[in-house]
Amino acid sequence: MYKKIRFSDSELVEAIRVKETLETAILQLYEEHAEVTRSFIMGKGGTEQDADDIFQETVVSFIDSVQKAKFRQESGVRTFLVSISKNLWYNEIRRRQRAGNRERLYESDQEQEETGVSEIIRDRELKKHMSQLLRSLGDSCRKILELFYYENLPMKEIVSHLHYENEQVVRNKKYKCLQQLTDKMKENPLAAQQISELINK
Amino acid sequence: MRPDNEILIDYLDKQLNPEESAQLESAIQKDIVLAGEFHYLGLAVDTIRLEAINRHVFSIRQSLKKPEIIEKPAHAVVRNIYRTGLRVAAALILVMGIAVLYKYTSVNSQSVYEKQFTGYELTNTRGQEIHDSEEDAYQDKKWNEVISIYQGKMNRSNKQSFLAAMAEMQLNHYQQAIPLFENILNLKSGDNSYLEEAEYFSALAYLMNHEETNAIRMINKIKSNPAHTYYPLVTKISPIDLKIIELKK
Repeated sequence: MYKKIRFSDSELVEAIRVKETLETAILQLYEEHAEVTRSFIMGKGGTEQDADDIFQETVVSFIDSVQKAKFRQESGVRTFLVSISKNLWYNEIRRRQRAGNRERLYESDQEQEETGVSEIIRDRELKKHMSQLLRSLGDSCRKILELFYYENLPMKEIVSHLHYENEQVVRNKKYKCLQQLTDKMKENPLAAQQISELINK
Repeated sequence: MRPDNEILIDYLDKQLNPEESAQLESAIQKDIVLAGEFHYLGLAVDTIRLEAINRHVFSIRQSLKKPEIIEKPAHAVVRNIYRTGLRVAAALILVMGIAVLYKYTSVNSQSVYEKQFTGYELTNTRGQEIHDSEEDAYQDKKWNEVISIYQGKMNRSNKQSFLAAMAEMQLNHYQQAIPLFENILNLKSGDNSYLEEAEYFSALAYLMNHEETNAIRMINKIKSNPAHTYYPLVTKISPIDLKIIELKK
């Protein structure tokens, strides 16, 4: 009989780092931790949709932290995820209140952030802006960049995937798309501030 | 694009050799503009990676979504009757489809032949003064002997030709039976006896000899004549069966 793989926390972190096991790891994150987040957000005035969106953002941020070796396992996976989710939701409440939303939202019991969570929250707006810039390049640019930088496919395979004439055409297109993206980023004040901080570190 | 950026992209893509990489790293440390360009490229690559993770997670989130339960509208009873009607109609169509398919696959020349063929029984001639050796052999079901006696004769009556043809039919020699039946059908001798028998059994011989067009023509000829001796038998062959045989030829 088929037996589901269940990773321990340390195995889960390792599984997130490996392309072949990433999907299984994401499924486990959803199956074991989504409900806790959902209960919290819906208990704090959020809707089911809010809970789903926040947990998706939580999972993406967690994967990013693990892949950049920023998650040092000082706390358990669930504690870390719940901390990200809570802070993302409090952040969202503040944003909505600033926007004049009159919904009854609760923020009274904001908790202490786990290590690394503050950075995730701080970069949230920047990441959203950057994603919008990437999407504005169009699908052909996004695909070529994603296949190269996320899927790590060699040029030869990208040629067959996207039906380009040859590797040189793909290489030129990739350079052009990446340059377009950085040009757009240079016009964004949030990105400019981030780069300035990085240079002056 | 400026050449500097191409080198920076090659560096990010790990296309530079260790020496080139070391030189570029040193240049980034010293040149703020180059460092800025490098960090922008890093941010771009990071954004591409994050967007891809986001899409990956979203697809898994979608796959885990439970299907929504559709609430029944106020006039659910009417809709249920309509649905039940549709289900019954669908079931009937399915049953009819299966029946048609079964009919099509089960009907062929062989099946029609097996239903229609019964051996020809001669009326008892043993009490007659003049004995015919072919008839005696036929009565005794000595089929090869019937054929042999028939072939040894010079003057052949329709009856003798017919018995020889039927002996061939009993031996499954349909191809040999057909010209014997045709001798009777051609009426060359001016003898009209055994004509109707020859028409019916030749139709069956044609069926088994894969001459479906001739068989159907002969069956339809008998069907058009209610006074024909074999009319009651051929009416048992349904027009659908004949059509299927025609389609399958």
